[in-house]
Amino acid sequence: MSTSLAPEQQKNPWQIIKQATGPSLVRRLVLTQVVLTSVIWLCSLVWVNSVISDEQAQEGLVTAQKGAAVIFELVQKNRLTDQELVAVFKRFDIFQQPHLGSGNSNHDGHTEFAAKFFIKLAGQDIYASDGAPPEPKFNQQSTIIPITIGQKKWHYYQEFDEKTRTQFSVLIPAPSNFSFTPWSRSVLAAPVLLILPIVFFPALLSIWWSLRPWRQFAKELLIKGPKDLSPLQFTPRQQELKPLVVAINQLLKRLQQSSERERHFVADAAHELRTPLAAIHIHLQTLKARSKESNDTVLFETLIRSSERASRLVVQLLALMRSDIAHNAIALVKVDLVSFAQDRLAEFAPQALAKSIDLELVVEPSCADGVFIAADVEGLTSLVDNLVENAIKYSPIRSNVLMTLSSRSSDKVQLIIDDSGDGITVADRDRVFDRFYRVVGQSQPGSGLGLAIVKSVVDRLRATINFSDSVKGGLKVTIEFTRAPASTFSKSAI
Amino acid sequence: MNILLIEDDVDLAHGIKAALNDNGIEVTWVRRMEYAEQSVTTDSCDLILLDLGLPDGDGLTFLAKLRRTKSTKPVLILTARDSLKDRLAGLDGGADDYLVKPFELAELLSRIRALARRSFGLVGQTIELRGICINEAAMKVSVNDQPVSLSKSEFLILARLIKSPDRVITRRILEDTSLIGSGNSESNVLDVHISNLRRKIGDGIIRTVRGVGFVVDRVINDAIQPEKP
Repeated sequence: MSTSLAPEQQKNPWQIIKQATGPSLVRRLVLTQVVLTSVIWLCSLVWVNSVISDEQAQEGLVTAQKGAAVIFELVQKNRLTDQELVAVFKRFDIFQQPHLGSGNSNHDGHTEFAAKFFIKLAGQDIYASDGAPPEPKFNQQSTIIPITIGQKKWHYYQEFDEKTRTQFSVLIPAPSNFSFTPWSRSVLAAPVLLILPIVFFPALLSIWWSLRPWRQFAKELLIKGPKDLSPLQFTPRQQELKPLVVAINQLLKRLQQSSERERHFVADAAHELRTPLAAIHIHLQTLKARSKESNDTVLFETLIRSSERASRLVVQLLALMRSDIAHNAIALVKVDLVSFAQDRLAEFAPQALAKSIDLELVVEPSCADGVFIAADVEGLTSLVDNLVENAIKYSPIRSNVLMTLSSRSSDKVQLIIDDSGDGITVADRDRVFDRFYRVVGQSQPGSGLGLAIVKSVVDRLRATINFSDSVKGGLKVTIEFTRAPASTFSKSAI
Repeated sequence: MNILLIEDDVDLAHGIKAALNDNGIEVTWVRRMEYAEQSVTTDSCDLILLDLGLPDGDGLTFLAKLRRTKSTKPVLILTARDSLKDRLAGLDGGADDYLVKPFELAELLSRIRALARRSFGLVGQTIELRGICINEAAMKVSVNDQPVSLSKSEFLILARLIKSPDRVITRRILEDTSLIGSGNSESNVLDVHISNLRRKIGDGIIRTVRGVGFVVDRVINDAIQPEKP
């Protein structure tokens, strides 16, 4: 039987997508990082925007004052005709417009970013810039006034020169228009758009890499056998993982203690049952011997058989609990399987003889010089005894039971038991290891614990057990042990 | 035969007493170690049946005390402790045999008889089984009163088998007792000895359990098919 973990399931594409879109710490961390980066960027954008607006407003004021000074000086010092003045204003106007392209043929395209002039001489409009909106009516001098004309925001400034009686007004595009210019001009957007993927992938990689101890930890939990309650070997140095491992180890310890208490209780109970069972048994046998009535013989035999079954159950229960308790604690010694098999089969010879069953041990040449495994003698004894006992019990009268020791490779040895009984159906082969499970319709007496003990010992010795059909017509049980290297154990049990 | 039974469980003690009485064995029953110590010194008993878990201490303490007095009375431990460690502790502590509860009456009787035989000094004298007589001291063997000459190894093998009738003696043990060396089953020295023995004492006495060992049955079992050559 394979003792592997849950079988790897074939994943369909939907499951893969589901798994990929399901909650994940890595994704959470990466997303948080990306969102935070974006928020910081947006904040910085708003801040930059406000700083630039103030600066622009300030610059606008200075520019407007300078412009006013130039215009007033022009009007005062040069005795030009109004037409000539207008021509000069026009050239001045074109000059102050932002020339972003080459040549002046496309200057019309940028008039929206240009300031608009209005000049009055002695209360008479003599000049207004091209495309200028109607001049607002304000009388506040020498200060910036924010106004909105249509959809557009402006800063309005006007100054009046007493000497020349010239009024200079200017509409400067308001800095609020600036807020969307970074997008159109890619002043700040471009770097951020470039930086986001650059942040994303290293973040993903670094987080994935940083979570390596986490995966190690998960892996160790995963490979733990179902009965293995020993503390985790993995001790992370990270302060995030340490409390988790400590907590799990404490939980495992408590579990182990409680399961051990339970097993000790069962073992103690079984142990305490031995003496009363022995008393019942010996009384029954004595009564049967004394009883001369032939009618009573059948009754006594039934009683004795029941008492034997109860005794057997108690012995098996003890063996099973002991094997479970010993799971991690027992010391293994070097055992020669050949000698061991001879000893155990010799013990069963009378039982086999009673059913006229021919018991045979075949030691293949590869094992002839002795083959050693690491085992505890008590566990190995209950393992082999249960299998041989089953083989004899379920084989018909005048048949044979064959044990074979074979070693096909240098590190493995197989102990095979063939019988000619009814065998175990394929459907039952997984279930027979369950405690108290008995094959339906089974007439032979049994505790239902024999194979559970076998499985417990097999697991403990890290061996494998496999059922197949025997050439003798019954069941073939193959147990594969790992051979003990010659030098591992100094002490030899047998 | 008189047996001293040291057992604190009343029901079990009654059962053992009744069963042994029915088989013609006298039983003196005590429940505590202190009474047992008195009984051993005052009464004459041939064998002691000893329970280990006693109300006033461990039966092994009693055993150790008994052996310190150089008493060679056979002791059969009768206990609920069945682990290998307990068995070894019992046997190393001076017990002659060890029987775990619950036990079969037949087995108890058989072991009591075996212990009694041994204590009555059978060792060194003649043992007889199915017409075969062996004298261990003189290393002489006769079959149906006809002397048979055996090699030393053959004698040791036969003596080992005859002394434990109905028990399969493993190949390893026979190889060790007959000093022919073990481990290498390619050399079939043991099989050669057995076949010589069979030729000399007659077929049908030594039964083979193939691969496992050999056994001399007390009575012939017709159910077993004759061995293939």
